[in-house]
Amino acid sequence: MKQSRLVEIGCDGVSPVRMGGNEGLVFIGGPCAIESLDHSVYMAEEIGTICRDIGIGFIFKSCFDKDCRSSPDSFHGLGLEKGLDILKKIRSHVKVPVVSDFSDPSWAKEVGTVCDLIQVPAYLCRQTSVLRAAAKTKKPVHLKKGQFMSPWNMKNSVRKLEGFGCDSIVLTDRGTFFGYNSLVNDMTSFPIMASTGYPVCFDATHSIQQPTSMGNISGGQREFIPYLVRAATACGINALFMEVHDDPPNALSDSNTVLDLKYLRHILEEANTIHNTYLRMKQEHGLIHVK
Amino acid sequence: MRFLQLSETPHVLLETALVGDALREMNRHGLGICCVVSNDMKLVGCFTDGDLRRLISNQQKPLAALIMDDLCDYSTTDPLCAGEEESGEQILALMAEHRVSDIPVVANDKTLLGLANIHNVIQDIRRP
Repeated sequence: MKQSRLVEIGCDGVSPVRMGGNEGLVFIGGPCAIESLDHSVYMAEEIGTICRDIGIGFIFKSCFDKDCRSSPDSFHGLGLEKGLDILKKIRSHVKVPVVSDFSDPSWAKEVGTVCDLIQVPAYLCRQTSVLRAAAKTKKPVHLKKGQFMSPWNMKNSVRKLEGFGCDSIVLTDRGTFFGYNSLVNDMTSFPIMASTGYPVCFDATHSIQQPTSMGNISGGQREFIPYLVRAATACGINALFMEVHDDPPNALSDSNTVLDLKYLRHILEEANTIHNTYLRMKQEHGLIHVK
Repeated sequence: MRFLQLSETPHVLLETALVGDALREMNRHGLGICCVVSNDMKLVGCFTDGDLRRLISNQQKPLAALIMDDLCDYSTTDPLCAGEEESGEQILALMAEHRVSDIPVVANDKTLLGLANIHNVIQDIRRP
């Protein structure tokens, strides 16, 4: 896999996390949606402790708005103002970089004043107005590959961002549509997307999702998370993304796919071990390019 | 020797172009070649119908993936060139020796000046 350029995430009061190249594995994670200040702080602290113990960089992720819920009755988030206020407090209290996404281009500016990493939702990865707004924040952009996109066509979105002045991008695969209500995980997407020169990330919890398989909500097969994480880290990803919750059945969003916090340490330890083995092999034997 | 000036034929692409960009331009203008240049118009490579043929024959990638690849990955990086002072007969001899019908014309510093196509070379030689 092509050696990626380095992307640094975090500034102004939080220790920056470096991603890409020969850097250590980075974890991007947290509850799918911001549920309350107390819950967010608790999750950020718990995940932060695990990451510090293992020795991997951590970026807290949680969203203030869930625009893509299948049902209009599902929890749609605390909203821009309240959500960003909580993320600001996470930054100052837990001292970790934070990331959130936005679905309305007019929200990007405010998101950019709080978040260290700006996430473009997978469904909107081609939308020029969203990419332009993300680039304008001057923060690194977390670009999630749409479930309908080929990995090679993500180059178009990357070029749009670059055209708008952004050269700090993280590309994430969160699974690809495989017929109706199902996703497949194509490991070749990592070297393909890495050929853009940017770090790549695997979203393990959305990848096991069964989109809208349960009528008006999505299902998921959490039992496959550890297998896919091991496979992706062996491919040489630079970062791992997972939505994590301390009480998945009662999570307000993505309850069928979020990883129970009690499994996080084990999965991250495995991922980190594989990642470090990959780095060591790369150092000892170099990168191989099969033709 | 009067060669095709840059302004006369759009056979030039920047080195950041994709294979799909080259195919579109070559197809739109009926060209068998496109010249790949740096930002300051220095010739860095050429991509021809022959390169495309070899690419499709040797690659197993889906076409949709192939057209998203960087053109530079498949261009000839040290292409055959002619200097602007060379005569039509000299260029024709070069074409015959290398069995090509298009040769980029460059200045001493590799700045692309235009394209010598076999048809306009023959026309130029025949001109009284």
